[in-house]
Amino acid sequence: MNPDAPELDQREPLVELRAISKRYGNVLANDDVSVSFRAGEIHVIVGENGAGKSTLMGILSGAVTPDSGAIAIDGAEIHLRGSRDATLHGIGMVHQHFQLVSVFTVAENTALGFEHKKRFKTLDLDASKFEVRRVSEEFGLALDADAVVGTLPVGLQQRVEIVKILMRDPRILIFDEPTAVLTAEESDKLLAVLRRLRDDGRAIVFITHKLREALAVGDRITVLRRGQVVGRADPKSATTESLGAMMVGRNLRVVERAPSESVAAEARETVISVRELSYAARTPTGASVDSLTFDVARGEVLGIVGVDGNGQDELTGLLAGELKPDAGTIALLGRDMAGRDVRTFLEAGVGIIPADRQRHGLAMSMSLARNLILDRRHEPRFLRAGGLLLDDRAITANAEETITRFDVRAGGPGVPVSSLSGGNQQKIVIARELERDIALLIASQPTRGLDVGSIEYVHSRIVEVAERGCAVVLVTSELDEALALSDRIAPIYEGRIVGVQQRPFDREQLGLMIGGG
Amino acid sequence: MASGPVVETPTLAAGQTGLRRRVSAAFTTIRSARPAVVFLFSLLSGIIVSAFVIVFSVPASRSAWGGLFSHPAKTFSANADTLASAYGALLTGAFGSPGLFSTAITHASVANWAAAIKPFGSTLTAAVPLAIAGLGLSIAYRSGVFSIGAQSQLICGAVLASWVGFSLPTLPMVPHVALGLVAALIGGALAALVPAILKARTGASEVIVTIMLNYIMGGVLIYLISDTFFSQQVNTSPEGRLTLPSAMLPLLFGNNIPIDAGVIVAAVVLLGGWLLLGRSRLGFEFELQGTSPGASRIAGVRQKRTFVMAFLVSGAVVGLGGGVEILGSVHQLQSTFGGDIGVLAITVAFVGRNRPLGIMLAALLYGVLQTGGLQMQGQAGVSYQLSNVIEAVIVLFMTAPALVAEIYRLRPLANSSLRSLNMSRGWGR
Ligand SMILES: Nc1ncnc2c1ncn2[C@@H]1O[C@H](COP(=O)(O)OP(=O)(O)OP(=O)(O)O)[C@@H](O)[C@H]1O
Ligand SMILES: [Mg+2]
Repeated sequence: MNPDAPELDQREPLVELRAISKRYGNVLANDDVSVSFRAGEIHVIVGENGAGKSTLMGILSGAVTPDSGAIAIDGAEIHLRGSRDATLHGIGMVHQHFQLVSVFTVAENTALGFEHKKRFKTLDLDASKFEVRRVSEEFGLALDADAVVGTLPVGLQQRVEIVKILMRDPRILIFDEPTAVLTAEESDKLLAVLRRLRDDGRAIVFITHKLREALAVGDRITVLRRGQVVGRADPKSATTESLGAMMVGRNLRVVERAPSESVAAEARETVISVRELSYAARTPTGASVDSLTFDVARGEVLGIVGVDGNGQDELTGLLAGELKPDAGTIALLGRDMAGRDVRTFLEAGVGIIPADRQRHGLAMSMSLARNLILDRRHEPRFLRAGGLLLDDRAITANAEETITRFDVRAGGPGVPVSSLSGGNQQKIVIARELERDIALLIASQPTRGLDVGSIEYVHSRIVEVAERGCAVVLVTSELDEALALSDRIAPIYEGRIVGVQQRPFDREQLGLMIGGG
Repeated sequence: MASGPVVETPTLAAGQTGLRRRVSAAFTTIRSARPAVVFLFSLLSGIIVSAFVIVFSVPASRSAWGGLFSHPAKTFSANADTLASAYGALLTGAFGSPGLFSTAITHASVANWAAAIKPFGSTLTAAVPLAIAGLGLSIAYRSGVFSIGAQSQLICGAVLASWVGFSLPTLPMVPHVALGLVAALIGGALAALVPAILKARTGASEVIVTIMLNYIMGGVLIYLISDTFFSQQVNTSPEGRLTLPSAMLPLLFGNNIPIDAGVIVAAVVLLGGWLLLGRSRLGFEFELQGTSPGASRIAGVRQKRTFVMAFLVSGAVVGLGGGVEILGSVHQLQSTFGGDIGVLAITVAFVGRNRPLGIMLAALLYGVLQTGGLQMQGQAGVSYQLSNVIEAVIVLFMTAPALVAEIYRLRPLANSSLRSLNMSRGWGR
């Protein structure tokens, strides 16, 4: 492998990050990082969860103050005192977690902080709307300037973020994992926008965990690990394998269920049996579920694949007891679960990995240790004084054990879980559910936003839990993930399961079914 | 491939001595927008803003401003005098005067010591119901219950405690007091039951329901002490019957020092609150529901039940505050009972950031402002209302930590989501 890719040209860099270091408690998020970005290039940054990518970009965009190091634009050092400063220096960032006000319209959101003023300093929204239209036409990012942001699907919300930043005409554009929340089609469109912005002569920084994208769109790749630059790769010669290995520091294996594991699934005991399950959408952005019927047996993985928003969230809500079906039945190990609440589902042995880990999987302001017992708080091993008090010593010990076993990168059991990187937050959710005594695991988008190493890890845990005899419902938008792990695949489209496939799967056909074909 | 062990580079410049590093670390702490720091700066702002109000409200210093240009020194000294006497009175009124303390030390006697400690005793007595009711409210707030109903719960607790207190003349002291306190707990819980059930059954906003309930209970109280067996038919103005001596919270340090067993009740409540909110399983569920409703649902917290539970526990504790006030200091129901404490308790919970230790300190601060304010009026001629101004200004600054951080150039904490109170929330997804 070639750690130092040949220079594309000898032009001076537009931005330089010089020896940046940033420490959070006992985590060194950035450790003497130096990188430079050139105009007219897409510079991809890859690295494990918690490698310090977002921190580094936060520093470049003025949101995070580095402990040491400097930023130079056109060779001159600049001092950023906040994101506004960065904007004024022509730096714009599309964040991993959107920075939008959901009750504001698109135009209001884009105006925020840089409002157009009329006479007497009243807000000139028409000017903002005009700007939104101009930018969205110029870059082919269609948007309704009057739409309320909260009612838009994720892909469009991201578009608002992008338009908002393009309105300030930045020279340096940072995209922090923009494709994590997008469908394959939306991602392709976004990558086309990136190329176009590059060809305009801007410097693009693009963070992704999808190595294929990195290779497809990057002009230059920098790999971070544990806060340090561990290498650079040339997209022309690198492969996803070589890049993955560079990221995690070892060779990765592809986790795939051996076909032998899935034989005779029918002979085993049925864990969950769903009949004619229906649920009508309650909100404008919600979806419906339309008479779903399926069984999952012990040791079996049922993959439910589909593009987001086709009823997956509603289905998982129903399977967890969070939503009450309008019609149909759910039986768990022969027991009718109609009308039961989440607590009963949990007690009946259901483990839930929710798609939105920050809202449904974790209490963000609570400590890592306490998050590991959210739904295990009734277990006697975590209680004392006759079940009245939490046994913090046992809870901390449990957290320490999990941190080692699952290789969680965090400051310790006591840190708030909000300080963890996305991938490490997901590890907390998964560790918690897998350590419970469960008969059915509902895993919804379990690897969204995770690095290749963590994906390998999560996949192997899911296979392992199935081998132990647990039934698994894997809800995912990644066809590859479903193909690798499932015994059967049920594509879902507009709330309906459109034909179940057994191994060996027909990838092409599944792809069509997901699209409604 | 480039890899290697993680090398931890020291981030502080080499050559700094241990002491310098410690001083700079301490300075960093002071300059960061932690809650305690924001509080101290809010207090400072309150004192500064109030200083202006004081000098302009006292005629002597106000008229001195007329000569600002001709006699600047005189203006300055007149204002300094006013401030010194006002804030001096506030402090001696709340903590006792140095003169009395030195007399007590040189001529040690029970009476002298009692005189010296008396002001602080009053401060403590004023702080006790605030601490109890503030803690009660914090239970609600941390559970996502935005209850404004302290007044109604205080009244209910006080009414039941008072009833027990003026009846049962044959009961010995310990069971009588205990029964009175239990009655107060029940009363508070009953007052909370109404909004809790309404919210759980119909989704009615607890903010509105509790506010209305405050008015209703205020009216009920006046009815009770005017027209029923609660009334003491002596005066023309309505008053409740006097608590029997056997039900009064005993004075801890003899008859001359006004410190009663309410202090012990408050200490137990604060400790219990700390156990409940920080250490217990129930408190964990409360907090989970309050901070992360989505995650609490998936974790199987039964939301309505938990909501009702948190509301009842909170109401019971607030009601206990009302009982302690009746059995400890005022000894009879009055028509305005619960109004002041009910509002201040919300402030105390807020300023104390819903943490037991914070609530204790906030209650003490407000006790100081209350008793000291009286002295300020009596001694320095500054209106009692001014201590309310100080209170209000502190809260004003506390509600805007970003403003305080800006004025005093505090550095934002990494990862700080200065947690704010949760306004009402519905049951929907
Ligand atoms: N505000 C913070 N407080 C404490 N620790 C933090 C904070 N922000 C980041 N960290 C820590 O710094 C490290 C780097 O985090 P960062 O978010 O930069 O990772 P990342 O490379 O973007 O990961 P991901 O791919 O999961 O988004 C992590 O270990 C994280 O726990
Ligand atoms: Mg990140």
